[in-house]
Amino acid sequence: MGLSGRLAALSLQRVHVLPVEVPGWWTTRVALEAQVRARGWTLAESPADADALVICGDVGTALRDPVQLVWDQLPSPRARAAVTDPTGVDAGLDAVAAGLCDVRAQKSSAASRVPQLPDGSEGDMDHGDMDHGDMDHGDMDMAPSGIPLASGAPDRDGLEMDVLQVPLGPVLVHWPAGLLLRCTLAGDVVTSAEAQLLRGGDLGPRTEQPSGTERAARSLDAASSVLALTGWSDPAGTAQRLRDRLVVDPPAEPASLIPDVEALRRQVTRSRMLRWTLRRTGPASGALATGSDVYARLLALLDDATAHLRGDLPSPDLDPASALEGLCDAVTGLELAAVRLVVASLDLRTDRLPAEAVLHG
Amino acid sequence: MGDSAVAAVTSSWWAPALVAAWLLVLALGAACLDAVLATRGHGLPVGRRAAAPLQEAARLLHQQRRTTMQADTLLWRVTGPGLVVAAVLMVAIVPWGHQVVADLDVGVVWFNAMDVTVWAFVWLAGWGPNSAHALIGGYRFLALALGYELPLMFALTAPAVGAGSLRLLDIAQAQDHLWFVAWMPVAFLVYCVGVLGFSVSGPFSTPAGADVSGGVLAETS
Amino acid sequence: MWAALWASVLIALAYGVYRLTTVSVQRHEVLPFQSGWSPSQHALSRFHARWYPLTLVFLAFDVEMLFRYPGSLVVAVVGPSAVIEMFVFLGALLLAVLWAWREGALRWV
Repeated sequence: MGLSGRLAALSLQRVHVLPVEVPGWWTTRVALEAQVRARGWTLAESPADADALVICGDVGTALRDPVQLVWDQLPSPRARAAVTDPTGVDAGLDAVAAGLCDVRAQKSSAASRVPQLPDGSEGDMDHGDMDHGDMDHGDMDMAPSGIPLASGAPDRDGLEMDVLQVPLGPVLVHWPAGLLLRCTLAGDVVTSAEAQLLRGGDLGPRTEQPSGTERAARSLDAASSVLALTGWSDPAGTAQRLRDRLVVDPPAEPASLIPDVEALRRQVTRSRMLRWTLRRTGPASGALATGSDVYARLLALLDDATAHLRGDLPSPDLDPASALEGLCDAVTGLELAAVRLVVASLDLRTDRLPAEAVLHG
Repeated sequence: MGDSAVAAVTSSWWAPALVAAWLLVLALGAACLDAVLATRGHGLPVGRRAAAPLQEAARLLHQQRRTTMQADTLLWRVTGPGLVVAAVLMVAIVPWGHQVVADLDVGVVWFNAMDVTVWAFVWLAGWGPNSAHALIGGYRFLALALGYELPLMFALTAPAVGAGSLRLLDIAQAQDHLWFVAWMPVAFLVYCVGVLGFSVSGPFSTPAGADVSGGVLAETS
Repeated sequence: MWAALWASVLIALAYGVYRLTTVSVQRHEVLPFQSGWSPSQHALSRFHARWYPLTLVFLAFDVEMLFRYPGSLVVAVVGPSAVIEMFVFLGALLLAVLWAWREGALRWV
C-alpha cells in the first residue's frame, strides 16, 4: 500500500541500530557507531526500540544464544547484519537499509513469527553454585508460562521481600563487551552478583600494546558511556565524536584534539547537577572501593584521554583481571542503574582478558 | 468574586477538536525543536534533524506491536491513551482570550488533578510489561514525582491566591493590568520545572532513561 | 465531556493509521528484555520496602494540597491568618516527616 511504503521510506531515515560487540572487535563497533551517526540514524536502547541488530565480530558459541534471543525480541520490520571489519560497516548498514526497505519480505516474515518461549536451561553457562535453584523449588506449582514467581528473602530491614535474578549483559548498550553480570536484586538493589566473561569466535585477546591514540579513544569511549547513562546526551555525543575521529580518521597530529577534550572536561565540571548525581556513587566495598566515586573516575578518564593524546604515560590502566574480581563486591548494595554507571566508569577492557575468566562473587 | 467575568464559553461539540488539534501542533513543534537542539554537531541539515519526530512516528506506526509474556495487558495498554486523554482534558480548561472550551469553577484543581493522573499512567507503564527494567523505571518516576509535587502545587495556588479565585477565566482577568509572571516569577519557574516533571522530559526523563534500558519504554514498540 | 470524546477520536485515528500501515497486525509475544537471557522469575513482585513510605508521604501531602485549594480562595477575604493556618498545617506534616527521617524510615538504599 502506498501509505505503508511511504511510512517505511520515512522510517528508513532514522533506523534504530542495536550493536552487539564481541570482545576483540572494539574498533569495528566504534566504526559502526560513527557510520550510524553519519547517516542520521541512532542507537537503540533496548530490543523493543531497535530496527536492526548489527553484530560486530564473530559470535562464536557462547554469545550465539543470547544474540538469537535478542534477535527474536526485535519487532518487525527488522534486519540483521554481521560486520567483522571497520571497512565492512558501510556495506553492512547498506544491507540493513535494503532489508528494511523490502516491505513485502518484511510483511511475510512478520506473519511467520511465533511467540517466544522461555527455555528451561540457560545455555552452556555454568551456574553450579548459584543458589537460585533453592529459591524456586518451593513454588514450582505457581509458574505461569513456565516461569516461576519471585520468592522471598529477608532484606535489610528483616522483611521478606521478593528476589529477582536479573542478568546484565552481554547484549546491553554502554556495557563492556562480553561481560555477563548475574545480579540478585531485592527490589532494585543488588544483593549479590556473579561476573563472567563470554568470549566470541576466533580473535583471541589482544596482547600487543595499543597506541596512544587508541588508548585515548578508549578513555573517551568509557567517558561517553558514563555520560550517556546519566542521561546527558550533549557531552556524551561530543565524546563519541572525538572518539570516532580518533579511530576512524586519526588526525596526523593527535595533540590537535586536546583543546576539544579539555573543552569537554570543562563542560562536565561546570555542571553541578552532574556532580550531585555522581558523587558518592561508587563501588561499595572490596578492592575497587578506593574511595573514588563515578564522578572522580569520569574526570580521570577525560584526563587520561588528554594525557594519551599528549603522549604522556598516565596512571596505568586498571588491570582487567583484578577489576573483574573486585566487581562483584563493588556492585553489591548498589542500585541497578548505579551498577551500570560503576561498570561503565571502570572502563573494563574485556578483550585484554585471558579466556575462561569465570569469577563468582 | 468571579461571576462578573466576561466570558464566552464555547460549549459546542466541535470546539474540543480544535483544542486537541492545537495540542497536537504544539507537541509536534516542541518535539521538533527538541530534536534540532539535541542533535547539534551531528553534521546533518536542520530540516532532517527537525523531521526526527515525524520519522520516529512513522517508524513506530509501521512497526509490529509486541507484548511480553504474562504482561498486565489492560493496565499496560491504558497508559498510552490515558496520557493523551489527560493532556487534552488539561488543556481544555485553559482560556484563549475570553473564550474557553470548558469553564470550571475549580479549574486550577482540575489541572492539578489531571497532572496527578500522569503518576498513575507512568507507573502503570512500568508495571504492565512484567519486565524488571520497566518496573524499576516506573518506581523511579514515583520518587521523582514526590520531589516536584509539592512545589508544583504551591506554584499552582500562587495565581489562585493572587486572583482570589480558582477559575482560570478569573485568573486571566486579574492579570489584565500586570501579568502574574512579572511579580511572581519564582512561581512561574517552579511551574516550568513541574511541567518537565509530569512530562517525563529533560532532567526528569530518567524513568525512561538509558541506564535502565529505556525504563518504562523498555518494552514498548 | 466532549473533550474526552475528541481525545478518544484522536487516539482512534492514530490506531487506524497504525492498522493500515503496519507490517503485521498480529502482536508478537516476547520474553521481557534480560540482555539476551530467559527470565528466571516474573518481574511483578513485592518490591523493595522503601517505596511504601514514599507512597504514604505522597498521600499525606496530597491531602494537604486538598486543603490548600479552598484556603487560597479565602485568603483575599480573611487575610494573612488563613495563610498562617495553612502553613501551620503543612508544618505539622513536615514535623512528622522529619521524625520519620530521624528514625531512619526514609533511609534509601
